[in-house]
Amino acid sequence: MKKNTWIRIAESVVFVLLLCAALSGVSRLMERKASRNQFGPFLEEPQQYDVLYFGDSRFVNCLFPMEIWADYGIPGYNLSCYGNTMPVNYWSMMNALDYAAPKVVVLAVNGVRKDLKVTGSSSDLHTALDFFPLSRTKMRAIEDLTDDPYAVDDYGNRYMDMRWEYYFTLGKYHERWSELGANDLNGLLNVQKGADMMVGVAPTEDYNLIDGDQFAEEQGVGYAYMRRMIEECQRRGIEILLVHLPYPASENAQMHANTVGSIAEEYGVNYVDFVYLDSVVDYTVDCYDQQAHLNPSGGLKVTGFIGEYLKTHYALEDKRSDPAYKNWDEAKRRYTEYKHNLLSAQDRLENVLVLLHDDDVSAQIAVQAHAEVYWNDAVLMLLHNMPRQHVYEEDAYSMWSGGMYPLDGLEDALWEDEAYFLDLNRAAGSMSESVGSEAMLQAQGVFGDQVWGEGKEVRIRVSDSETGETILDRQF
Amino acid sequence: MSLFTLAAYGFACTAVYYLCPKRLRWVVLLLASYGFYASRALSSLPFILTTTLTTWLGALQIGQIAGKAKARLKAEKATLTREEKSSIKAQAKSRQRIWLYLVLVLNFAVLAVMKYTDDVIGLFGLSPLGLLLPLGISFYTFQSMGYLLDVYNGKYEPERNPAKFALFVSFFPQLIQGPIGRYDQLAPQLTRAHDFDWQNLQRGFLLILWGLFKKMVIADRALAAVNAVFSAQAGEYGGAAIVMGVLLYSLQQYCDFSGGIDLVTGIAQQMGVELAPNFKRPYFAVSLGDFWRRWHISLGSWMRDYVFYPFALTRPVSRLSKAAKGRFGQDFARSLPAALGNILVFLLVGVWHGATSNYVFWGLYNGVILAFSALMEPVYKRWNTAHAALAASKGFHVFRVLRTFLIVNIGWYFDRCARGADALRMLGTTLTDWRGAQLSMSLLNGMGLAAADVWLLAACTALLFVVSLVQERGVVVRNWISERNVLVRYAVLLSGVIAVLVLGMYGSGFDEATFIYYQF
Repeated sequence: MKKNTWIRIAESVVFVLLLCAALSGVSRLMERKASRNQFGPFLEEPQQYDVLYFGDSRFVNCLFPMEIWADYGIPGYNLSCYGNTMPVNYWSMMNALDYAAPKVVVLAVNGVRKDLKVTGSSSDLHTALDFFPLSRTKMRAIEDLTDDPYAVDDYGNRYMDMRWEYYFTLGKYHERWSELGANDLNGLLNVQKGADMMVGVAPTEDYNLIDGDQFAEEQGVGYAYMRRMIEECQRRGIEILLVHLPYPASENAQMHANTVGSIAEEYGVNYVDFVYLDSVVDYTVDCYDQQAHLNPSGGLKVTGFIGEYLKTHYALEDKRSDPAYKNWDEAKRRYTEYKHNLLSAQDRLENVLVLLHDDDVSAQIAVQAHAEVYWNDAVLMLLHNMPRQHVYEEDAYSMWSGGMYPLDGLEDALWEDEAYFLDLNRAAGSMSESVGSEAMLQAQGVFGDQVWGEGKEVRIRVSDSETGETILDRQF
Repeated sequence: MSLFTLAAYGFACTAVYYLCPKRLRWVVLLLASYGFYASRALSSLPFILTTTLTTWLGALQIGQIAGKAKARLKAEKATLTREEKSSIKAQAKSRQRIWLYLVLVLNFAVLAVMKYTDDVIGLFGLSPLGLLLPLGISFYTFQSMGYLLDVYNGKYEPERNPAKFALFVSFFPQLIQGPIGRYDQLAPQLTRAHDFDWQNLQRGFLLILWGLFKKMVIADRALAAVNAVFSAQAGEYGGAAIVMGVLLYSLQQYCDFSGGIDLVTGIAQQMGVELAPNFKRPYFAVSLGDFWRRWHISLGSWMRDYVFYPFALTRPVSRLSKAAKGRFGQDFARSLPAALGNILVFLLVGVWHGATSNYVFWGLYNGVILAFSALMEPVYKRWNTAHAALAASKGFHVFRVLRTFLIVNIGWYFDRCARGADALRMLGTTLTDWRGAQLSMSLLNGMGLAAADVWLLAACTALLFVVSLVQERGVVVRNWISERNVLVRYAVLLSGVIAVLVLGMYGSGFDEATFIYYQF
């Protein structure tokens, strides 16, 4: 072959390599960062996780692995994703198991009834899969999840036609060129180990509990893939815990949950149905939308329950003093900082109160006499909700029952239309309430003579329970 | 199939083409073409096969009749009288004509039925049948009929190998929207085994990129605003917004059509095949006639050779011309056949676009202006001679370009509107209800063009203008790039690929592979 030809071939090879590198870089820059931000940290040290959590949006919003780490020393990562169906959960798990070796998998089964492999926003599947490097498992996942010619996204586009965009994400995200910002260069990595706290309060519909012996017929891909997950875990020697997360489930949904229970029994795996454990969450204060996705208050309750369940039902070591897990101290610091920032970013009283149902913060709250909030049932319930747990209850299982209205002083202040002061000191494990002139004195002692500015009736100071650092001092 | 898939298909075919033994390379092209056609439009396969077989057979018969007549004339040269020779020729021509008309009628009838049935039955208030136009039917029918007419006119011998003829009809890059190739130029290139050539590969790749850029970055970006303007209710937009819509359509249509042609020309070029040029910077034309020699060149030349000249040279037209000579003078008489020919050609081109009033108006508009120009040609010549300095000045050249641009854009009103009445209404609004204040960024945003899209469109149009200007001055941009050092070449190629992939309009919910000229 002529020398010139060799030079041409070499030039072409270099060009192709440069092109691949450039495309890879541009794809990375243009991609929506949701997937890499939410799950990217999982791939940093995947072998550290003893528990992996899989489910849909409900689980994303209510299972906070860093809380379980802080309370029980069980390292976990929440790989749940908005819009996940059971097949997507299966493939998320299969991909995750290429990197991680968990002892327990916790699977939220709320979507078991869905009979499509994928549905809804095509971006959700991107979020669930994009962060995984291209591998044989990922290719199998893409091929399998997009093989249904009838599965369409919210805009009516067939997933089958969009398959290539899961291999080549620039095809999906190239339109972002006009919205690129600093975050696309720096990234905003998730510090909640995959979870996502959604702050807000929304009333939800009531529901009726049916008997546990009513079952729905097991049919559809949701069940099939749930069974595949159970079998895959058992084949690999991984324990699996099935959970049915709390929401106002229809009777049909409860029948399906019961069917899941019988399947769990069949395989000999544990199953927790939060719909029956209806005292764990309080739907008047614990949901951020009408579909009953849980806010941080509800999430902390479910997380606390599952943490305790994991500790008592599985042989999971407390790794907090393990030197190999020293990096979790920094993770905890960043998580705490995140929670503080979340708190200080709130400008609605209800949202602040939602976030005060948290062991990590203490609060002092002063309410003016004749305050309108005394007529606001939602705020009153949120105030009662704030100290409902750990301060009083020892037993994690019994703490959810009773104590629905633990703030006696608030009730007095409400009836007498007097000023009210609450000092919830979680570091000391104490809570004190005062009403009327005593409340005024207490409030002035904390906030100074001018407790409330003009037009304001509630003042809240929130501090870190551990360090005492003030996180927020705000009037409403 | 997306445009990327088409480009990838082209690359794959190129690779297979050069890897195959030389004697089989044309077979690779044939298989690739039928593979492409079957994958895109399996149900249309009978149509292209019918055209291929009837044309091949018809041309073969015509050639055989001519051959037999020639052989007889040669063999009996000494014994035949002049009258007998003429009689043999006439008989042969008559028999050839039967085959010619048979094949022409059959193929144009198929084209007409598939194209116009719904339009015609719609005139009688009946529901459309929803006939799907077979992929590329106009282009391969025109190409095949051109071949048939050339064989009939004795321009060249008919192709004896049906497979080679099938390749000429179906060569996949030109199936989408042309260009309409000529047998004597294209067929030898298709059947000849080309040697691998790096220059062809690089030049083809650059042309593919440029085509994708024009189509996906510019044309498809302008699409939303064009649709918004032309589908608006009467009175929604004033003249300013309508003019903006027409100008955007001007840009969109040019980039859509010429971008697609660049893409397929680049694919063919990589395999050593030079397709007929179809565009030559039409918006730099100095007259409407010049514009049509630069826009859809292959259709224009087809119409010129197979409609215009045959019509202008017919006896009735010659007689009319002679008759006009006495009454209107020699100049007028000489220009009359061209004037009538232009009206006929553009009426046909208009109807080819669609059997609706807007296209009939559009064809007549162009035809009448060209006819008027043809008749006024002697006057222009005299004026140019009398004002030679002015006529040769740059300023006058720019004036002529802008004047042509204006005339062409008035025509686009008819081309883009669904009905002639809509076009007239929009023209009326342009002249009587300007509403300049309506033009704003928020208007464009409302039409589906975000501010970033507007600026990008402006920048890309400026780039297109500069490149076209440089080309107009005789610089072959691709040669210029090829002659640069490797760093510059890589930078251009990489930037081109990334620009198309990042700035192009494609992805879920957007069909970038649809061309305006698909429908024709």
